[in-house]
Amino acid sequence: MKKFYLLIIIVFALWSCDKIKPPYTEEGGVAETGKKVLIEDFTGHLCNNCPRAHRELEHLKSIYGDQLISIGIHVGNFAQPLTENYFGEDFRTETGNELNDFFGADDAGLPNGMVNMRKVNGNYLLSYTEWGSVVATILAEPQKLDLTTTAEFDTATRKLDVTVTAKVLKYFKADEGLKICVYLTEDSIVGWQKDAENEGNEDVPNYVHRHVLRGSLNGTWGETINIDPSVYGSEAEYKITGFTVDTSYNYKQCYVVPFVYDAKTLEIIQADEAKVFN
Amino acid sequence: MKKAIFVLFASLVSLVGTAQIKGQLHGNFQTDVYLYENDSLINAERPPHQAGIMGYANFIYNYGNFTAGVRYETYLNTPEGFDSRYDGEGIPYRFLQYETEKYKIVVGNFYEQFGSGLILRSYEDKTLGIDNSIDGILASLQSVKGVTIKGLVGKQRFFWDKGPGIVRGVDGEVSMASLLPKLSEKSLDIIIGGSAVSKFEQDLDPVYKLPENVMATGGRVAVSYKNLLLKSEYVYKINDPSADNGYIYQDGQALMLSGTYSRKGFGVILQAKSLFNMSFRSSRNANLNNLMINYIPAITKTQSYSLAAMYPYASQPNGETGFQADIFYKLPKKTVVGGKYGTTISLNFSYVGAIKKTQVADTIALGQPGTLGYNATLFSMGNELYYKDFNIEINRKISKHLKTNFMYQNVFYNYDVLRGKVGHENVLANVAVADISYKINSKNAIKTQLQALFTEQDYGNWAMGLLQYTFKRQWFVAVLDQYNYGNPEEIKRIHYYNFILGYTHGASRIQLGYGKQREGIMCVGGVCREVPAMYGFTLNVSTSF
Repeated sequence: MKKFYLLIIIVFALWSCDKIKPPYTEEGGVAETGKKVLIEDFTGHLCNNCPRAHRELEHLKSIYGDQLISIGIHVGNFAQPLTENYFGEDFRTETGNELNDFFGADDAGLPNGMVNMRKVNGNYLLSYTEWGSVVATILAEPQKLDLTTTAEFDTATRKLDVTVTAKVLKYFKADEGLKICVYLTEDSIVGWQKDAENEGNEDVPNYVHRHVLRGSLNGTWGETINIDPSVYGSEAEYKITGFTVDTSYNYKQCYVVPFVYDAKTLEIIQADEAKVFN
Repeated sequence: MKKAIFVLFASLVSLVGTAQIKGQLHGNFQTDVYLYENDSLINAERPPHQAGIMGYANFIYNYGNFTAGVRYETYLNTPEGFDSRYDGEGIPYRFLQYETEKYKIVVGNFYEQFGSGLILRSYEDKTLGIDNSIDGILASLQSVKGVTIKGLVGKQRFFWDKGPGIVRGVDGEVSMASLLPKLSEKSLDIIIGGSAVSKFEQDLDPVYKLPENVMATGGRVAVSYKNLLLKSEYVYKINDPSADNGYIYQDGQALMLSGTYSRKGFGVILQAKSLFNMSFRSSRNANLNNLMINYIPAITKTQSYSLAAMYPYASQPNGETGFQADIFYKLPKKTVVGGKYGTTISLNFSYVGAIKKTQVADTIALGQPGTLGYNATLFSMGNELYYKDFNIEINRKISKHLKTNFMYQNVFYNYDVLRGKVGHENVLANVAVADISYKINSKNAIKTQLQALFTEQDYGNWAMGLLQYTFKRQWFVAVLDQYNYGNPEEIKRIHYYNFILGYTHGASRIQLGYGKQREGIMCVGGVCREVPAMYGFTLNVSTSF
């Protein structure tokens, strides 16, 4: 019997525990393909830990460049405006609120976010510390769909036309079809943000809010796009015309973010980003 | 998976069919219903679904050495203040167990604890919204009396799914008194235990080189001699960069010491605890109370009076050093000071502060991700005080009918650290409680409570009153009010009132409530959950069979 105990202990001891030696960071670059990944970052200007997620996004952006698209979705109590001159901005949108209600982002504790709306271990909402590994996994998978986007904006009427062309590059299944959403974001809005890591005072008056969600051109859940994923090379064109961009938005800093997702699993197949005005 | 559950359930049902003759079925049931109303003044919101309903039922079937069980749970929708990822219903817990005197085997879900839980504790606490049960295999063997060895492997529950990591562990414990009867004749026992727990999680991170296998090892010794009990436990964990520690590569360590002396009418417990980098989860990205492999025991008193529990301690896995002394003395009965029935005095003092962390190099900031992070030594004290609680409780029975309990507490609460906020003032509060129960006769009783909390910080002063009347033994009605009369904002000097009607019969209980709940935090043993403000009706029904 003693031998049996000893055996168990030896077997367990043989499990290596991985002692990592410095440097602790990976070396080498990242292979680039046409595949793009979208991170929807649920955030709020009163959430003092949220800038940690913003910094992680900047960091990932520095690794993946244009292959990584991000949207900052301000939701819940953390996104409430306070007074006019102090946290007065209200970045919440109907689309953001609907996404928040559906995914329960606010309840799960901000910051959190979704990478390509992929369920990881049963959950859409992922901690920002998890984004990097999920982005790496997704970008290592073959590209199935290609999206090209053109935007035309009339500065006088503030009307925006968007055309998205989708093309199947690799066979895939979508049991309940594919849907396309086209979101509008505004980049580099300067305003208040609480930041736990800001020395001295966590209230930062001139924080740069990146890629803030301003709304959707075709509803929170978008529309069906008629494309057959089982046929290589099949193509579809999706158009939105005459969308009015709010006068309070700086159109020079606005982007359209179209993405195609599986209507059943919600997972995004491919995303794209284009400037509203060039 | 569904098929497996069906087969298990079907076999259970068929077993139940014969239960009257051979086996035994028991279990329990509970449901909590919340109907929400809006109250913007206290920040209570009515969600679109208007009601939060949480319910569960355990069915445990026992037949000789064999036990099987399932738990059905429903969260439609998850009550406010709990993670809405629980939304849904199903059977997240089912197991089959075979147990003899010498060994036990469990397949399916199980809860287990090694030592004090410092290295592994899988448990469930519905009030905290915790369920980190392991789904896998557990085997335990006691071939010689006094020697137990356990082994387990599995994945932890994560809402309606399982976490990404695999948990593996072994634990052994030897009781010397069981092995050597001579020791037990001398009232001496020495219990020695040791564990190793390892988790596996894939590394897909593009930035960091992450350890895929993280092992923790621990040892413990308990010596009891007559009225004296001395215990110690030490755990060492290798590099485990995670969201909790900010992706640093420092190893973790924890040491707990305690000494207890007790004799009739007197007891004293002294405890010390020091640790750093001891968050241990089966996913390095998990947060809140999710996927915790270990449990850091608290060494502060868990206060039960509502105002005394307003500023509770939350364990700090990233580093803390603390001490606690707990003294209990019973003044003898039929003396001038002790009174006719005797008087119990309990004194408690706890002190927890930061552990001292020093830079690993001049060029590396403390806690910088992708580095060792910091250097630390157990039982070194940092500059920051986290928590201090001094409290005294006097319990005296005046007559056959009248019982009293008085309490005073002085508490220091480091708001930022314990609530994970920034820029909030630390709280220093004094709390006084008078709790008086009067038993009218065997079926009727009255209970009153008066509490007051005085502080110049946070929400300011509070007063609380409770009146509860128990009648016909089984019914009770209670009115209570927490009044925030000292709130610095006049408009927020609010009465948080509650009306409660309850009925108990055997193991069954029904309780209906209406009123307001203040926002705050609740902690059980140093593990906490934020509680949102709420206004509306509550209904709780529970029974066991």
